[in-house]
Amino acid sequence: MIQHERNKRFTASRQGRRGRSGFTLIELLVSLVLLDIGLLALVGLAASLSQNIDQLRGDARATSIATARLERIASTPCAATASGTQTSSPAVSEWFTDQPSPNATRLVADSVRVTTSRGARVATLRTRARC
Amino acid sequence: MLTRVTHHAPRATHFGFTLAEMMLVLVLSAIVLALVSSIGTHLQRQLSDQATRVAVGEQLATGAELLPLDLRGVSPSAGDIVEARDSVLQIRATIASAVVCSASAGSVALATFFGAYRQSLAPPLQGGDTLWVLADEDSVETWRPVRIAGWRRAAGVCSALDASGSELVDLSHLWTADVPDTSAFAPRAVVRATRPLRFSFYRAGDGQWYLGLRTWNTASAQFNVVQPLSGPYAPPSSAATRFEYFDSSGMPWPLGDSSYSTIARVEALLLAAASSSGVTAIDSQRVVVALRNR
Repeated sequence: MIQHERNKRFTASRQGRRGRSGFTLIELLVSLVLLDIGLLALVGLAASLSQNIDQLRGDARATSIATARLERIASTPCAATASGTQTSSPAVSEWFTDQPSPNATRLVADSVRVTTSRGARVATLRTRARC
Repeated sequence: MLTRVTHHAPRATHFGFTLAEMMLVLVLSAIVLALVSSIGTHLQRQLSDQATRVAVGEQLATGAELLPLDLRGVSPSAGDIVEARDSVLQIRATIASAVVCSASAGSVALATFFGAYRQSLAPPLQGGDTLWVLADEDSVETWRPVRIAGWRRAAGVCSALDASGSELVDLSHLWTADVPDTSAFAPRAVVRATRPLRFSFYRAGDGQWYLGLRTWNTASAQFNVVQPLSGPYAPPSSAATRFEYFDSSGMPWPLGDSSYSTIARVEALLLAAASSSGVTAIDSQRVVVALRNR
């Protein structure tokens, strides 16, 4: 009996809706807002992706500049302890030192700072090379 | 809204949207569509720009990583540089280092040094490869070249080495090399095996310039066909796609000079460009290699 009543009510409400099938204005607005939120998230994702790639490229650039400096110093004979700084472009600044130590070896260090869209990236390399 | 649900009789007249609702929806969806398309094109441009930059970085990084591997150990004072021009660099690359275990008539037994992580990195030798024996002299390093006629691998013990010395060599892959003259091979002498290697900037069949490598074919005693290491790069000029050489005081080594023993540093100028969907990215890198065994 209760079951029958429930079925009846169900079919009645179904019939009541059939006359106004389709979306209401509110539903459409809600769906548009949801779509907008999704799009904004996509834009945010792309922006952060792009910044991450910039960071990685900054790291790679700093490392390659530091490597080149270490190799240049390693190809010259040992002299007195030397250090210096260099600014190769507005975005790149570099600090390096060349320190001879006993047993005809030297300690070479280089720290390169590259400015990217999301802050500065720093690569610091140290190596011991033959005099 | 509520009245519509309860008010049953004139339902048919309320079917669908009113004109105002329709207009509003159309305007809103037009705005959303405009947003979507502008965001889409912006995203695509940004990502393809990044992809192009990454591609250029890859063209440069591959060359920068591969070139130093064989160049670093080169010893110019021992005559390892055979030819140095702005487009070509030919060296004697050290392919393995070993120590003499014993020498008998016509052949020597050698134990190769382990590389990093106790891995034996020594590749197989071939007849025609050159062994360089370090003469036992305290004052100057003298390496005597011996050309090998044949080669095979053998497991065994290296009687010339004590327990701590045996830790450094690969006893399970001893070398036996056939040499015409074994007089230079004193037990415990240090030996290195070399093979010619030729780097060059060359223009490939597709019309673009690459950094290429020619390995040596000992059987035919000539270089194999050039294989690309990295690229493509810009055509050669005074500032791109060329080798530069420097002496130990940091001064440029004069190209055309034949005194290769004074070269202390090799630099390769790489200039790469890539474009995709109208975006072109250009980047350059100077690969610097200090020759460690001057």
